[in-house]
Amino acid sequence: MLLSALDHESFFHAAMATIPSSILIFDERLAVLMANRNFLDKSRSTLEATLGRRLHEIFPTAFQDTALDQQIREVIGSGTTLHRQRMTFRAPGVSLRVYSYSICPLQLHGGARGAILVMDDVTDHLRLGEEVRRMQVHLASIVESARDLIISTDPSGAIMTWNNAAELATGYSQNDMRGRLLADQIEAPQDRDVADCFRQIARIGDLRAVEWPMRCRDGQTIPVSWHLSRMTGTGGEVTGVVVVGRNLVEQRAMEAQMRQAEKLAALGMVIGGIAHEIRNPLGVSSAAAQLMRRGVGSAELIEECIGKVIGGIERASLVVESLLRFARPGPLRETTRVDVAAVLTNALMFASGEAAAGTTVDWKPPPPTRQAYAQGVQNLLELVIINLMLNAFQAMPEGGKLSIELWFDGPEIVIEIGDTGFGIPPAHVSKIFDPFFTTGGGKQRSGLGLSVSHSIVRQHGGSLTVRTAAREGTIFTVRLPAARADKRAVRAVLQVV
Amino acid sequence: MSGVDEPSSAATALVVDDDPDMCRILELALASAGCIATTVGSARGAIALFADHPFPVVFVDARLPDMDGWRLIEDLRRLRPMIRIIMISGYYFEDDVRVAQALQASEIDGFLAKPFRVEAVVAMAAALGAGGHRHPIRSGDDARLTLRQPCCRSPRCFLRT
Repeated sequence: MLLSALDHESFFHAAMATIPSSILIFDERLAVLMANRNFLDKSRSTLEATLGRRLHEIFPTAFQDTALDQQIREVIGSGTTLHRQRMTFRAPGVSLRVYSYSICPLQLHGGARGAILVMDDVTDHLRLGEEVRRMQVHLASIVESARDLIISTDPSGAIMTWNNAAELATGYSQNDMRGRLLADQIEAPQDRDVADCFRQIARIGDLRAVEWPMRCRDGQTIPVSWHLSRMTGTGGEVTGVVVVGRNLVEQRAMEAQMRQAEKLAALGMVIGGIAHEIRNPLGVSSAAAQLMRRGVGSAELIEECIGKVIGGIERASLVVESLLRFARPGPLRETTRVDVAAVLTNALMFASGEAAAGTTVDWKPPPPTRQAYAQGVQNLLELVIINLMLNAFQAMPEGGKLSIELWFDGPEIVIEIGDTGFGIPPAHVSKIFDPFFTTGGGKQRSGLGLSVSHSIVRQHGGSLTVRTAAREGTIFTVRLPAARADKRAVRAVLQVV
Repeated sequence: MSGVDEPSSAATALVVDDDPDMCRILELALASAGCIATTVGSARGAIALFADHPFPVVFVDARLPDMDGWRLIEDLRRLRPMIRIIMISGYYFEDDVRVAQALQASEIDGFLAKPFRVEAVVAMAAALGAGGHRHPIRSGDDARLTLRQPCCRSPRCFLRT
């Protein structure tokens, strides 16, 4: 539409009537030449009562602290527009109002000059803005004071924000991290899981409690349990990802303490049986040596005695060695290929002292060709099996059969420790893996055995389950991922599932 | 006091221990004193053997796979009250309350802790099996001390008299 086609006067009135701002036009003497509908409504005045009046006559005294007249004169004098000024309206009994205003010079008929004043009530706008800002500060302080790592990324996994806890845990600041891929901060091989995760982010809803080790500035890695949630826009599109991580360093230290305490408790419990294991071969060696000193006679007998001396000492040393290995606080994250049959044999040796007389053990170690290796920490796995065996023996105070089974199920190694004892009452089954749950009447057991076992098995990426029947017995099933085929010790990180 | 190391004719003993090496070494030790030992690895085996051969002396390990050593001792005594029983164990110590009680109550006639002295084994076998060796008792003495000294000079010989 061409401007010339407009009827200027009717356009002017239409604009004045519809613009949601208060508009006044002044001449050089600051007398009102024009006031629009919005102004008249707001000031509860009429056009007749307003036109020709001077600025200070029509403006409430509440505005008088703003040098509005001065500013209008300056605009008229200088011919330059004054943009977006702010004035406040204070009056008794009325809540504070804030106006934003601009003053623009105008050319009037006959060479006279004037100015147009446009005012907007921005009180609500400002209040909303203030509230939003306060909320933002509040949220930011939550994020900053949280003990968990709170990180946000764009849909591709590039880091956008990085909170204080993340900085404390890793030594990297938000400035170091902004724009970098989260996957690059995760240790191999889990970094690939993270990258995969972001590639499929549209399909993944919430990802909970995955453990990815995180790189720190000092070259260390820390275990972190992560929760990922998508942020979606109004159209359902993924706008980013909120990544919340729990630093597991302290938890791991506590778990290590618990394990160590449980190992010592288990050792204390089985020590009588172990003494027997050591003193028996020592007895053989000692007696064989004494027989030689006494002069047993034939060269053949002497040879036999020498064999017994050496054999007995070797047997005793083996027991002592496995004891030391078991009791030692092993490094938590260094895993090796663990011969599961050896774990079962050692555990049986430790625990069998607690077996009631009349207990038989059904255990046939697999032939060397069918050896089962799990990736893990040997003494922790031994602790698991010792606990299960001690439980089994305690369930059979009058003797019974302990059965030990070991087989492969696809990529998993399955171990079953069964007893023919009194079974677990249904009411207890759901609690047996809880810490400090015990029915042992406080005798010797800490009540931590099964809960510690459960956490160890889970950290090995496996599972520990139970089947039980009253008066028939109980079978605990441990499933562990089989070790990868390569023979050398692999450094891997225990995974929490 | 008869010579403890002297072989006595036709002395026999039964050794019950689940460790074959231990059985063999006790057999050799007893043989050195002229005592013929039969060995068996389980309590049930011992009871079965005992039915046909009433051994005068039995060495019993405290921990057997199929039965508690103490139970076996009880059963053997029931079969033959006059039998001489020596408990031999890597589990108990000489001064264990259970062992002291058993000596006091004549459940067992002697106790040997592993590792043991061969002379102690020989002395016990000779004393109990050959019937000539008796430990003098001084009244009021603690049983352990009384038994220890004059018998065979073995600090681990705790023959009950």
